[in-house]
Amino acid sequence: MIAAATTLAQVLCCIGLGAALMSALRLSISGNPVLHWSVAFTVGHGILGWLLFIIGMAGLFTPGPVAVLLAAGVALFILTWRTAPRVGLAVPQADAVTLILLALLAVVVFLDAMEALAPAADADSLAYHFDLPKQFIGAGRIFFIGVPLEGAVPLLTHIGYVPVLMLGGEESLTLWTMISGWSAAAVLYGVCRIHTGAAMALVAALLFLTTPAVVYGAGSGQVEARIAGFAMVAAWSTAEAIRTGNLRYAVLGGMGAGFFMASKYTGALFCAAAGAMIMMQKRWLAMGLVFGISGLAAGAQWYGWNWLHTGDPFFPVLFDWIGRENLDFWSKDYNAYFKDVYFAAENPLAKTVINFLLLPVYATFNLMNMVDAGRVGLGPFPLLAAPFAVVAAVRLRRRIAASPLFIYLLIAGLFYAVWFVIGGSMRVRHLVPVLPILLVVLCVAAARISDVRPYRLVFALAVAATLALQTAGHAVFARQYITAALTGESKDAFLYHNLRGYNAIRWVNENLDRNDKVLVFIRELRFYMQVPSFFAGIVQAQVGLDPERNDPETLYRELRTAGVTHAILNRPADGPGVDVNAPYQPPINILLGTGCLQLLHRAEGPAITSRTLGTVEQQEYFDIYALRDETCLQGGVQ
Amino acid sequence: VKPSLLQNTVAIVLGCWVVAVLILYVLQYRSIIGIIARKFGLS
Repeated sequence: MIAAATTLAQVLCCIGLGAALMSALRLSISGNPVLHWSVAFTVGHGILGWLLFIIGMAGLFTPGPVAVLLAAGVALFILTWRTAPRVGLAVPQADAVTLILLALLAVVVFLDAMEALAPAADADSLAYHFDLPKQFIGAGRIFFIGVPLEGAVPLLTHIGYVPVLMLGGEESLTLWTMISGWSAAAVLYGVCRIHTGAAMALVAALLFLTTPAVVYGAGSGQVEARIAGFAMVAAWSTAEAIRTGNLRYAVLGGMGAGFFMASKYTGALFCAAAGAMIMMQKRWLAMGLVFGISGLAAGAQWYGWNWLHTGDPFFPVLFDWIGRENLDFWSKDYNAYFKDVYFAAENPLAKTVINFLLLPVYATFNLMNMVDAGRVGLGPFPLLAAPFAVVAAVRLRRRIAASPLFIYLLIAGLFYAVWFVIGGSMRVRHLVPVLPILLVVLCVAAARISDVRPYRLVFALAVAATLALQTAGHAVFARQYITAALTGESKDAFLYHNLRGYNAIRWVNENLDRNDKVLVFIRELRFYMQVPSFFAGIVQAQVGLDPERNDPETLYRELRTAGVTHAILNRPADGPGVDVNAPYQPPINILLGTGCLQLLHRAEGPAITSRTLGTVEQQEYFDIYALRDETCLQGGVQ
Repeated sequence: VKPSLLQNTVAIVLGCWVVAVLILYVLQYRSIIGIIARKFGLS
């Protein structure tokens, strides 16, 4: 009950903050209530993240100030709801197609709700999306985490998890990710309603909600589905600013792009794309200045934070050139090594014109080792619908230049181009933020030629097949959550089946305390661990664990300097030692040979290769060791 | 309005495109789709 109330308060707070801003800007979207309130929620979500950054910086991450902030937002909601101009509550004409689509929407909502009611189990979320807010709450403030990719990055969306987790607990957090994960679909529906009927707008929203990458990420702590709302607001506001010449839309557009920038580095690329579009008009200087200032005001805080602590606002992208020399957690030598390894893994394609043109094909069919293109890709719809947009463009060629759809397409296209050329990672999932913008273009273009019956029928086939495939995938994804809800499975039982090494976490929580620090190599162990941990992946430079390492004394001292007291290591099923498949095997085996690691406990659990597909073929074993005092080094390697 | 010959021709091309993409998509993901089908007792 408290969890649901906290989530509801945060939702109303976001709507209140956003509606207050829209009221201050005298922006009201009459006749389109879904767009009005979804834009209010999305912008308010960004404002909440900004205010939480200030509160966190001030060391006020305690229940009192955070509750006051939520209460103030709820008060603004009540005020704006009462005083907002009538935006109308037009109920769409419910023909048979609309009713079928509404029924499908109800199924999607049910599947998402099942996920929200289960404990969080997504690996990245447990590794850092949810663990960072937990750490900030524990410290009562924001503090700098000198780790690339999962610490020293823009954290506006992550900070939004703080109030629900602090005041409502884990249940409130997963309810929040469910609702905030819907926000982009709501804005998408609202924008489509400007151009099409309710049925096509519902089609667009459903296509987005059932996209594999969205099913995978929206209900977890992954940020892309939430960022998609910011991008959608920015694209719509930019098009409105160009259409009306009204600077107020430039403010809103800049803020939407800025909130994207404050949530992910790729947002800076999006700001450039949307900013370039808003400059393409007569009032380019005024519009550009207003857009740019709004964007920086909304989105520069985390870049300043990184610059303050590392010298590099885009840490670690520019660290080679402008990074500080005297950092104890990072060096320019290690930065070069890290970038070599990371960029090689994340960029399977050479940056050529052919690959630029064919990447959507590779992404759709999971070719060329594209990262995240398979089970968490973008689905077949963009490729299916692209020719319909071409036909519409040919037919309506004289009206294209004046259409807001053209602006949307250019923003999405520019973002894609810049992302392809200078983006750090080619993960297909990173395109989710601009997917709704593309869906608006594709669905509205199809609607524009739907007066021709054969076109309409073929498009209906493409939509029906996509929704059938994607909804089936969504149902399989939610199957474990539905089973857990129907059987009343306990949290421990659920996590045992869905989280690698959960039994090791339970032992650590029962036997160690806050004065200990556990070395982990599986980063998703961190969120449920009530003992401090140290993740020894490539994202840290304090403890060297590369395979060539053969000096146990240095390794021992680095672990001690990092505060490590214990370690959780995979072990083979048939004996002691370290799993030969573990990348850290050579140096850790050398340390084991010195006797510096004392075995305390052996835990076992299912070796989970896919939670969704339930592929568990064998048991997995974890040894929990204590790091002994340094007299262990005197005996040499045994 | 009765579609013109050109519109019918374009619609046939669009239809072929949609069917081809769907077939390739299903073939490419047949292993996952097979697992999904088994989960629902369809194969």
